[in-house]
Amino acid sequence: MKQMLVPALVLLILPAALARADEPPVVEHQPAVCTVPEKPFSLCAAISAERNVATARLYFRRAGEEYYAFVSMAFTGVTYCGTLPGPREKTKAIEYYIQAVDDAYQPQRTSTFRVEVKPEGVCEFPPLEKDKAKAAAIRVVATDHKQGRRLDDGFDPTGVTFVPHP
Amino acid sequence: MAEPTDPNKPVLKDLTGRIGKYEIVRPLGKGAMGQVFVAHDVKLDRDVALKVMAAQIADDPELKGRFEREAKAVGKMAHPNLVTVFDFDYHTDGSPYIAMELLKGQDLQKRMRQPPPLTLEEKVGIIVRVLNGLNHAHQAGIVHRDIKPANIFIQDDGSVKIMDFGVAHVSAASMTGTGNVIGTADYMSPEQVQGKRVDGRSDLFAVGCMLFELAAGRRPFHADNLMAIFYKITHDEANFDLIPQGADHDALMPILKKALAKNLEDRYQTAYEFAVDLREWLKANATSASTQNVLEALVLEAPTHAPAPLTEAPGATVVPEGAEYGATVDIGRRGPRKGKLTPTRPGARTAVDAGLGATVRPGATRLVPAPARVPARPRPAPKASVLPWVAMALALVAVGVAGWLAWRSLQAPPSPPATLAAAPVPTPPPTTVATPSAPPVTAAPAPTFEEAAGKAGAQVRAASAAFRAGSYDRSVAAAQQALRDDPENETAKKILAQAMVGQKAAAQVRAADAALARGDLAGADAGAAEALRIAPWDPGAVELSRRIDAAKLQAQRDAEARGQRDRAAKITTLLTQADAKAAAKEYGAAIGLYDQVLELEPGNATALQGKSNARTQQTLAEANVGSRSVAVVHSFVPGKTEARGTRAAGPVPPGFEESAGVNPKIGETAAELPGRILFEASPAAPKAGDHYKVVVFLSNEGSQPIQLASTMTVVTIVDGKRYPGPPLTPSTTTVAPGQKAPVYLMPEQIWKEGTESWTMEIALRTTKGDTYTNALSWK
Repeated sequence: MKQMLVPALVLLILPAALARADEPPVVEHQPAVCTVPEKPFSLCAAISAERNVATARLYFRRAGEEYYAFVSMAFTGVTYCGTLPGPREKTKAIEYYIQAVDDAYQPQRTSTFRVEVKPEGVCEFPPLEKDKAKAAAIRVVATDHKQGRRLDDGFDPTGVTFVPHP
Repeated sequence: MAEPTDPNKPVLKDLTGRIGKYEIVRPLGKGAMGQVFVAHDVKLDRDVALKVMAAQIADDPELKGRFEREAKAVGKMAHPNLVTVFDFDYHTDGSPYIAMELLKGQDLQKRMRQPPPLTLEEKVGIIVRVLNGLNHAHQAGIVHRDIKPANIFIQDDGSVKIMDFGVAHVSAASMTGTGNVIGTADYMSPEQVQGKRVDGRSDLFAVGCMLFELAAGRRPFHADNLMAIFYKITHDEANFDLIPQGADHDALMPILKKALAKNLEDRYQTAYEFAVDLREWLKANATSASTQNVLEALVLEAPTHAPAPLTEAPGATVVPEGAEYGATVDIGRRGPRKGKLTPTRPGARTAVDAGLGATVRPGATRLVPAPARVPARPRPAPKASVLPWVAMALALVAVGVAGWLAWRSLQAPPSPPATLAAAPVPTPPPTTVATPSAPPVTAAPAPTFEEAAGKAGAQVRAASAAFRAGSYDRSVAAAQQALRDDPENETAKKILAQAMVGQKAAAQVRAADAALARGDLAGADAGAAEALRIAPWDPGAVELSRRIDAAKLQAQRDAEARGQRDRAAKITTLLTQADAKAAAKEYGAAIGLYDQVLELEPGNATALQGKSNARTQQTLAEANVGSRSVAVVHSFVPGKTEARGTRAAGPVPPGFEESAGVNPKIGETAAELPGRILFEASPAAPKAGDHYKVVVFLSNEGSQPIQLASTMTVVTIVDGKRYPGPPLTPSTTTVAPGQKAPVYLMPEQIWKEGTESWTMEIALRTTKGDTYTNALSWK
């Protein structure tokens, strides 16, 4: 009887364990509602996964634009944070989503969220980037060659390195 | 499964954002302290309203703490006229959130403006249900403080709910720092305006204002500016002439007057009394069946005790701000002197919110309101008298704003995390013996002899050659032969004399050499010294002296090595004892033992870490004893470094290199590898809301540098959930022997309330293929 028990337990537990490992990462994120013009801002998410996270990216675009660009999100111990360039005053809103990929290339992404760009005072809690070094070293990567060689003019290019799509 | 390459195309698996177990469906609105979302509880499969405190506010422990206390207090209340709180938890960034009943309908403010107009009995019915909810809350010691039509929700089924309980306080507090709208002034009670103590009777005044507005169509104390509203609230009677004529309205008048009494003692003392009077009015005046049905269904809870007042809230100052649909107020923090306006700052306690955290349990003794610290200025009521108030307020606002700006300018922006350079530990005593400082022994110039000639010339030359070769016996014999042939030969005499000295020196050298062979370094040294004294030119004596010096150096090295081994053994013993003492919670003894280790080796990383941990535990233990607390205190506890090497175990038998199952590499034990992963976490025992950070070091206890590979792994596990990092680059690539260097700096995080387990696992690899792992746990 005991000889049967161990294989039976293995058969019971193994599929569950394998299934867990096959699950893509889970992205927990509190969406930002608004931000202010001309100031880089930061968005964070907690990404849990059974496997290791290979990369986490913050995709964004000016509302109405066709193509997204992205910035890589940096691991901060528990959460991943990415810094986006400050939107120009004329930019009404920004759309973004977060995507994580684990080391088995299983992707997971959030919904697309919309951040309104409002004047200071009207937007009460803009998620501004407090770290000046991060605000001065934003690396934006294009996702389509039609995005050209410069950052969308809906954003302030100060401190931004734009990487065109190859 | 491959990563989608085109992010611009729709992704099939478009999942929503999540906060805890809630999937965000859509934004519902925003409040002063954060955002509200429609969210879906995936576990219970129901929609909720999720109110999330803005991370910027959550950084303020005072505001956050108040939010938590209030949310928890409200969460304990269950009443059909109060919005139900389902859940209270923290987002991973530390922001608290509340999951609440998702209401369907509209708030009273909107309902009042929409056709068809409410009948008077419908209006009174709504107010009775509001009072029913307030009665329940006041009995629980909770005062709403921001009762207004916008916070009363009329559901599609006609039920009435009071919203924003408790959170309203937080809203008020939070707004003091940002200078935004915190609520409408029209519904404030006189004692609120004057900064006096506030209790449930303030809510009843606000309900009276709502009832007046419902009956008259206008707010009782409305005016064009804020100061005028305040003056009216504190001095003027409501204009009851605005109440329509008629028996039903006339019957309502005494109730309204009592509800709006300026004097607390003249007002309704409990929501129950107020509700009972209105219920009686309904019984007498309601004509519709629906209202009668509501009355039958309405069960008023008679209070079992007086409503509990909250704590004192003195020093209120008012600052006009923009209007929502009426005048609004911002309430500054308590000033340093009575009645003095001061700039506000985030997190400052405010007149309104000062007592929010202290809810009083049912049965508590009622406190008599204390005199206002900012005395209302009783003046005659002519309208012209409002102007000085306004002027003064504006002037004071200007002072306040200037002060606020000054205060803001003093707030230095947060410094970026300090770049951690390699932190060398104090250099331990040298482990090798220095080369002796005395110069190596060199031979003095050997004596020289004149050229010899004549019949003894050949013997003299032979004696001289033997002397130069150090063959003193042969030199003596040849010199003696030369003197027999030529007794007056001066050169032969000189050679003979020197060669006989050489013989003596050679005898000393032989004796010293024998002593050296016996290990008698002192005897050898003395013999060699004597030989050199006699014949400093003797090459044998010089060579022996050099060998003796080398032997002395080796002996010294051996002695040092023995000492080092002994010290290492002693350190190991002491560390074992210290760890045992620490485990037995004998922290004082453990610290003493760690100190002994540090005396032997000032930079011993294990002892430094152990001592630090023991001190922390000792402090916590003392604090526990001091407070007689039996609560379990958790703190960060580092694990032990596990090391695994992959060096070759030895030559692989020819032909077996590629054979399956043959692994030419073998792991080494941790003890053989010199790296240790150490942690510095602060604070050592974080509490909910604390900012904490962790620095990870690699200490090199070996004699060769450790070269780290380009990536390392960091995984944080919180309450069983893995939060893995991507491959990270260590801060340091090379750790010199005897040093510890930071390899990872975790940015500051906020400790989440309710955390039950927390572990950070670190894995480091070296360019040689060795792997070090360790974990920091919160236990």
